[in-house]
Amino acid sequence: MTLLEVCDLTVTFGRHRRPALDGVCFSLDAGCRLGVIGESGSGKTVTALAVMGLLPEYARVSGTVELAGHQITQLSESGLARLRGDVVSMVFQEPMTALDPTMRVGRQVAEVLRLHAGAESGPARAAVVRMLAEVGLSDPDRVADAYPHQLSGGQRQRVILAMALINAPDLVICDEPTTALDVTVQATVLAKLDEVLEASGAACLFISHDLAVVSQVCDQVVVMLDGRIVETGSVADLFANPQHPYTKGLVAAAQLDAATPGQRLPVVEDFYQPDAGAKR
Amino acid sequence: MKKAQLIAGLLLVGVVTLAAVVSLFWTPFDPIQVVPGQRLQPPGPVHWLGTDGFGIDIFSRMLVGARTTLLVGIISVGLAAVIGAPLGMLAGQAGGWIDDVVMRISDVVYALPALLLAMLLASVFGASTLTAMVSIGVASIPAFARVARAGTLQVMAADYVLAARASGTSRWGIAGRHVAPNIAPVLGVQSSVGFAMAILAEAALSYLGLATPRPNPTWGNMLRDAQDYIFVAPLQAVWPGLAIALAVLGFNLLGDGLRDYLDPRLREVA
Repeated sequence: MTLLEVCDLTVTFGRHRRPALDGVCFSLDAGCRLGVIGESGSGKTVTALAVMGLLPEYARVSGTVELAGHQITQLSESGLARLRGDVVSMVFQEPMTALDPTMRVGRQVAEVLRLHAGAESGPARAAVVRMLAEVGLSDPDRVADAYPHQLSGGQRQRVILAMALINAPDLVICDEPTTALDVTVQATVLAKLDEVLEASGAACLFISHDLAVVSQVCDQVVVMLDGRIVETGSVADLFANPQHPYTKGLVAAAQLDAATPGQRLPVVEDFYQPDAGAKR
Repeated sequence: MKKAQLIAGLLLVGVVTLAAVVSLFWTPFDPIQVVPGQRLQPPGPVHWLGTDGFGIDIFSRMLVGARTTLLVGIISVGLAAVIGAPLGMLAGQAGGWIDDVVMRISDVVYALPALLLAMLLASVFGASTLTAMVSIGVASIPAFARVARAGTLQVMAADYVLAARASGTSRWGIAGRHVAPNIAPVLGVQSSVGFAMAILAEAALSYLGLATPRPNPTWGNMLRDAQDYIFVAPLQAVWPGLAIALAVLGFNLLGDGLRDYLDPRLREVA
């Protein structure tokens, strides 16, 4: 069953600027995971915001985004608010700034629960603590009473994960969720993400610039470049047989094991020159 | 160090508040009744701070003056905050033409000095504590609106507001749960700075006879009275002047201290 269907999505900021997204099409089935990979400025985050209906008012949007039977581009702000956090939720990139510094994190997680489930404070607290434990926080009671600045980056990212998952959404959008974390913490957070997604059966749109990270979580990948999708396929196919020169570069750069010792490591520019693309 | 600031501020403000409260129940002498035989007494065991040109005990007048000072500060800052802060938040959150209209009106009010407004109100309704409070309060609205708007814009651009929207929080929910708590510290500081300025403005207005009329004592009109005897009894001007300076200092210190105390990030680090 198709959960998310994006069709010919074009987004422009300002009249005379190049579109940030240009005719983007992809679909995602319920319970599946799709990686969106591309360099910064390629339109990954704009895609995520478009699916959430969170694009700024001055963005000009055409095409359709259908999520669980709802036309996102047609919905009112209050209609969108009902879907957000309930049907679809988002894990943000920066754990340092995505939590309100004046609010205890337990309350922030409970807030999401309360907004959609109408839960009361007593049971909500228990649900929050359970969720915090589920995302791998070892001392969930203490964490729930902490302010964000009292937690480490990895802990905060887990709290953000808990916020995204507490209403058991159908789709979780992860926008570079591990980019701000060091590699060790990144691995544990990814493993935990994999585990909780598996347990809840939620679909996932995983945005990253790191092919290695995407291949760890996703089975399908789309490659974005300059606001367009240049290649789509399963992770295995993409690694075995990349088509687009940009993808070839990405794959070569990700396969460190294949490099000959003593030789310069391959970079994307060996395969694809961005200037050639711009002239075209 | 930060804590010392807060404590010093609390102490000074506490003394002013204590004086105001005590004056409600007790003053050593009648603060209004003229006693011709006791004119211009120096400070001593009977009249602690001496007497003024009408023979009235200065200490008693100082106590009652504290009451007016606090009252004017509370009412005018309260008026400015209650009107200015929500307007600024509205402007910052709504943006577009609402922002423009609210802030341009605020600019117009900002261009109008409290003194002019006080003169206008005094000439229409007669000078009183109330006209002083209203004119100082109205003149302070734009400062609150600006501070609230700037803070709101900053908070609205934060990732956690985007995260809150991504969780389905409504516009009003964001205003109440994220914007208000995050701008509360700056509004607190603005209140205490505004309080200090209100004290100065009230002193200036009553010095000019545009606020509380005599014989009711205020620190401002005591300063005015002392001016006539500045060469005979210079200490008479020192007491109200000192009181005004210390009260202003107290509210400024309290504001800075409160800001640090209210901010959970700074509190933990300190």
